[in-house]
Amino acid sequence: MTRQEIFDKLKEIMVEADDRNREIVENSTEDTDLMKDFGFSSVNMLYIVIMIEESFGIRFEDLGVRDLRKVGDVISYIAEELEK
Amino acid sequence: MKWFYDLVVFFCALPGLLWFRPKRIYEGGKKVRVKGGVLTIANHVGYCDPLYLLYGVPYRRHHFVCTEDILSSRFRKWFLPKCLCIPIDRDNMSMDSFRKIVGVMKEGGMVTMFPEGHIVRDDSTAGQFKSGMILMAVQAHVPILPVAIRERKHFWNRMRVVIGQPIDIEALYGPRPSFAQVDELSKKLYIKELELQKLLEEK
Repeated sequence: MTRQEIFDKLKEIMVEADDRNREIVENSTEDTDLMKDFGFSSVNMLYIVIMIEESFGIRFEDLGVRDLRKVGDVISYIAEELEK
Repeated sequence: MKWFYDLVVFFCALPGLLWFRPKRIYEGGKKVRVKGGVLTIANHVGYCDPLYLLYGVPYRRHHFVCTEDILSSRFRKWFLPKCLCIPIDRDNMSMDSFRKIVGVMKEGGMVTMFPEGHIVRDDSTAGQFKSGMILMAVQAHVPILPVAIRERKHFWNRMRVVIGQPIDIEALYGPRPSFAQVDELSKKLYIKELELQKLLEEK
């Protein structure tokens, strides 16, 4: 799976979680900050992580929900896990 | 360490009963006895709250969720996990802790937590609930049991606990509520908690 494909799927997940964020999500880049730009709380992050785990079939190990700051960090983590 | 938990409860039961003389009040007057996985939530008024909940729902083993800060001494670090407490990092929750909590409920256990996240003694500073607990219940497909407790003012007062009716999240919002629904439910549960606290004052 390429980074772009992961990014597209991630966007779908974020829109599904909160339709109010659709415009910001669609205009987001890998540098977009999940908490500052999307306004995600730690609970929102937890929610997104659960959905990522289910959609990609991976597990976030030894990681706090606040450790993922930017969209690019999430994509990198997913890409690494998918390669394992 | 279920045997250790049972041992502690066994030795504390009689002295605790004499000291607190617990009185359970049920919402709507209908006795609640929850079987299977469940997430129990309560307001947090003092350090004795876990004991209040043990006597409020005595027929189940409580897996208390506590913050890692509580495990500051060597004794607590040894004792609390043996008493089935599950420590979490309140500010940066790990997925491992989340999975552990969900796993307990999926296996039919009861997890008990204080969603205000800290002790709130004064009504004027009453906090809102943190909504992470809803994700835990959703993920484990279990109901939420709201409980209200009040700190005893004097020794001669009986300990009182109000037990609400279990709330089935899936029946209200389906298997995957959105962000907005999670926030809405968190507010609803907080209002329910305040209603139960009122019952505590009336009775």
